[in-house]
Amino acid sequence: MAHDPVLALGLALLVVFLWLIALPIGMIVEDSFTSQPGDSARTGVADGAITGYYMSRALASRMSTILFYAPLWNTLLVAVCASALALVIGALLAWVLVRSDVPLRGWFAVALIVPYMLPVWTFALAWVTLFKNSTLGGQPGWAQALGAQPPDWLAYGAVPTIAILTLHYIPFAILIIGGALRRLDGQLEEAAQILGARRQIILWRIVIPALRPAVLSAGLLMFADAIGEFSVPYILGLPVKFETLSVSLFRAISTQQNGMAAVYAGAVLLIGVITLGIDAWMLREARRFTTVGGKGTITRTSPLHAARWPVFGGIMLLFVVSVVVPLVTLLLSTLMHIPGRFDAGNFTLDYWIGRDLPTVALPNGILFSSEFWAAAWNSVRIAGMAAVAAAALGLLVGYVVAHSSWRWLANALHAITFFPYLVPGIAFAAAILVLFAAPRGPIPALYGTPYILLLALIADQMPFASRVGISAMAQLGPDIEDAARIMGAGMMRRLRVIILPLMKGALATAVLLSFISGIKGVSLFILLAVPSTDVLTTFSLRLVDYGYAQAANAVVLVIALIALIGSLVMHRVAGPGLAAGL
Amino acid sequence: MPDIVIENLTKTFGKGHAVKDVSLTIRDGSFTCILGPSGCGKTTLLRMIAGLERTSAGRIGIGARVVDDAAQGTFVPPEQRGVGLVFQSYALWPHMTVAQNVAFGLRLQRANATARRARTDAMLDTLRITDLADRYPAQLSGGQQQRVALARTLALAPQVLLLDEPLSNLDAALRLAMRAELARLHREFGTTIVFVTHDQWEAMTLATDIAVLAKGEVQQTGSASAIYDQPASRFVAEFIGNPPINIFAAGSDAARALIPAGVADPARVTVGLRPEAMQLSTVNNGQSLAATVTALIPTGGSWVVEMALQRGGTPVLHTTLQRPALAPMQPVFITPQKEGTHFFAPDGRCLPDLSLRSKETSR
Ligand SMILES: Nc1ncnc2c1ncn2[C@@H]1O[C@H](COP(=O)(O)OP(=O)(O)OP(=O)(O)O)[C@@H](O)[C@H]1O
Ligand SMILES: [Mg+2]
Repeated sequence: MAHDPVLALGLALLVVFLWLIALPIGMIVEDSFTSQPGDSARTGVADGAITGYYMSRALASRMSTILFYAPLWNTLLVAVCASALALVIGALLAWVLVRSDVPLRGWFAVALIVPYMLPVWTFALAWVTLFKNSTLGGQPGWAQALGAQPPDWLAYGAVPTIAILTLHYIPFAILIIGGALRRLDGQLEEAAQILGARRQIILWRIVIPALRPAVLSAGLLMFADAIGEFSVPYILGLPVKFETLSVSLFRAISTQQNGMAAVYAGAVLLIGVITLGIDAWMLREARRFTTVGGKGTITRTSPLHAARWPVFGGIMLLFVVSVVVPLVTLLLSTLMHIPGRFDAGNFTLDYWIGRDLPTVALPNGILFSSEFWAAAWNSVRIAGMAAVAAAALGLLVGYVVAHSSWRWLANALHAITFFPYLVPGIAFAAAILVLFAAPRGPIPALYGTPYILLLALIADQMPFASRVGISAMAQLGPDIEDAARIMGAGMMRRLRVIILPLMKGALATAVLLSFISGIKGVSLFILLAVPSTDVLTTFSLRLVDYGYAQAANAVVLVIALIALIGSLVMHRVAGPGLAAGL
Repeated sequence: MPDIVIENLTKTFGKGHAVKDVSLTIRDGSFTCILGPSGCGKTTLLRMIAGLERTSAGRIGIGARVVDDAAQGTFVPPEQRGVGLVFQSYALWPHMTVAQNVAFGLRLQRANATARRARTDAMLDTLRITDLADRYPAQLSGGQQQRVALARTLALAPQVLLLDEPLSNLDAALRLAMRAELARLHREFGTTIVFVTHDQWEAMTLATDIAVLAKGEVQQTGSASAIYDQPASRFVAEFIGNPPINIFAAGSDAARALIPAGVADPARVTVGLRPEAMQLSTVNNGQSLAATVTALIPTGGSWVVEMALQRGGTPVLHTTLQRPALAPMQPVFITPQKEGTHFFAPDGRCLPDLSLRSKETSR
């Protein structure tokens, strides 16, 4: 059926995704086994020939501990600790929010989600602002300004990284576990109660086992995300030489060690694939639990009695620590000449709206700085275009999957669009960089142009966008469209007049969510942006590197504001479930 | 009003057959029903006639034109076949009002605005949904949605109207109303109507011609009464009729008692007896089966008598319009009437000559 338009469309999409997703990943894996340009003296073989040099250097050389095992250990340490802590705290909070009579339950249910809507390195910058010590030069931290000298272990490295990631992931755990708890049929518990089981027993024998799939899944997803996390260890790790794999990857690329970068990317990728493989396998297992997903609507609340106000206090404290303190700290920091000195003369609006300041590079407050507006415009433009493009491609993927009589094509599209989900952003960015650093065939070298950011972001958003497209198309069913076809409406006409209007809601949701995640994303862009193509996130990290802490914090606040407003709009429009995204 | 000629039509999905070697002529002007149990391939057959599904083998002709011939590679796309299809789900476009739904096809045909409006109004009027013109499908009842779906399809004046389970979502009163409406449309528009259903009542009441389908194969074609009175196979006899025909297994005492003398291999013949084709009495007339009444079930206007044969076997059901003068646990004698007695070979085929012979012997 050469004239089958669905087949043609499907094949075209497949080619696009093979090029944009499979090819770069394949190339970076290949790079870790081929001698990179300029390395032949070390690898002992010609450029482009197969070599085990990078692997053995990383895994079995005198340098291995420093180069590979220490970052690997740090990565795993951070990921395991942060996800485990977030899981425990999140599960407790989920139970309190869903099942107890703690005051302001409904308000907390939204307020505690806020840290997940903010870019995670907002917290890192706030932490630095507060706890920076003299190990790092430049302006002092607040604690230092107030006369304390925070020890290195508190100021930098593993402890703050874990603490910040934990705070960031707690909302995610609340969303997933709380959702499962809400769907858990209250009758299950009542059935046990009637049989005479005490509350303790019900909790341990009924509730916890029934929630196990959701809890484990939440844990694995957080773990996979933490493995690829770049910005927090990048900001907090440097002064104490604390590196995770993603930071090592970044450094390898910045120093043109492409072979080593490929090895790091491969390691991160492998951990991601294994983790999510376990998750997928467990989800399949979990289908056997039909309980979660039942439609138990009546959830009884358990009175906390005397513990009611202490629990309330605890949650309020968490809210203050994870939302109020970081945001207020950042905000105040952008208003002070010298950090941590709280006297009237020290406050200023210069960093926002000043002009002709006596600094080397950034003579104007960010609101009057052309670099800021250029970066903001880039952010909005790239995230917006990528969000629309990804949603449109997702819709087309959904269309082909729903209509193609060629199962292999549907399966291939399904699988390949999901793949970027398994690949942490920074590894994917490294892969994209390999593909687009040099001209290939008809495609010119895209490094240094905004297009590379755009393409990377589109590919990165495909897992989510294609899931939205597929499920929306599946809900639509074929009849609606066949009814138009039988009257003579061609495929494009049907897409425009029938499918698109019906998908408006789903598409708008997908576009907005993709946009938010594009605006606050950093690990995907940090390798790909150059100063002239900076987006807000990379611009702010550049400011951090230059030591312009106030300006960096101001930019981060702007990003946080955009992300927060977008998420709240989303929350209003689509409900909290969707805000969790993927 | 074109004939639809289907020859040796087969459709396979992967390894399984959805439709298998179906040959069927749908007469010009007939109101044909394709009747069969769920999953027997009815929708698939209809979609192939409409052109929404390609055939795997065989031919479909509409009027003088071959619209699909797998061997020749002929395939006329759906919009060029002059067919209209009303989907089982109605498939109304939820983002368009009733009027927009009806006008959409006309818009595709590039009818000008005035002609479009006139035609739409006429259709809404015909189906008596003019006051619903500005509503969205979600604001309509099932019966109203169905009228919109019909109006939308009829607006294009298809030569062939295909209906997929058209009445299945309606209550009894609406069914009767819609049945009358469909019959009127049939007359008024002179359309060849084909509809599929698994509901024998729908088929018997609406159709002039019925084709019984099972596992993708045509079992029997004919008028409703012909199919009821002269089933071609045990499947058809059992599928049609409510309550279903009583079956006496081959070799059972009851079957032996009912098979006329002189049959070569009576132990291999299964006997079916329609529930209405029997007389009950309290005295044994020599030819009857002894049984005990187990239940009397009122079914609104008629009665079902449930009995257990004294020699055992499955319960026997009898329907009657009069209230039976019987009580549970009372012994009765069943006298079968020859018109409702059918004999089946081990492969399920009906043995009509045996039925004939049994009629003769009874005279
Ligand atoms: N697209 C398809 N792919 C694979 N198998 C299919 C497909 N469509 C139908 N079938 C199979 O073909 C058979 C006939 O399906 P069809 O929908 O025609 O049944 P039906 O008679 O309309 O049933 P119902 O009364 O339930 O609507 C079924 O066994 C079904 O599983
Ligand atoms: Mg059907």
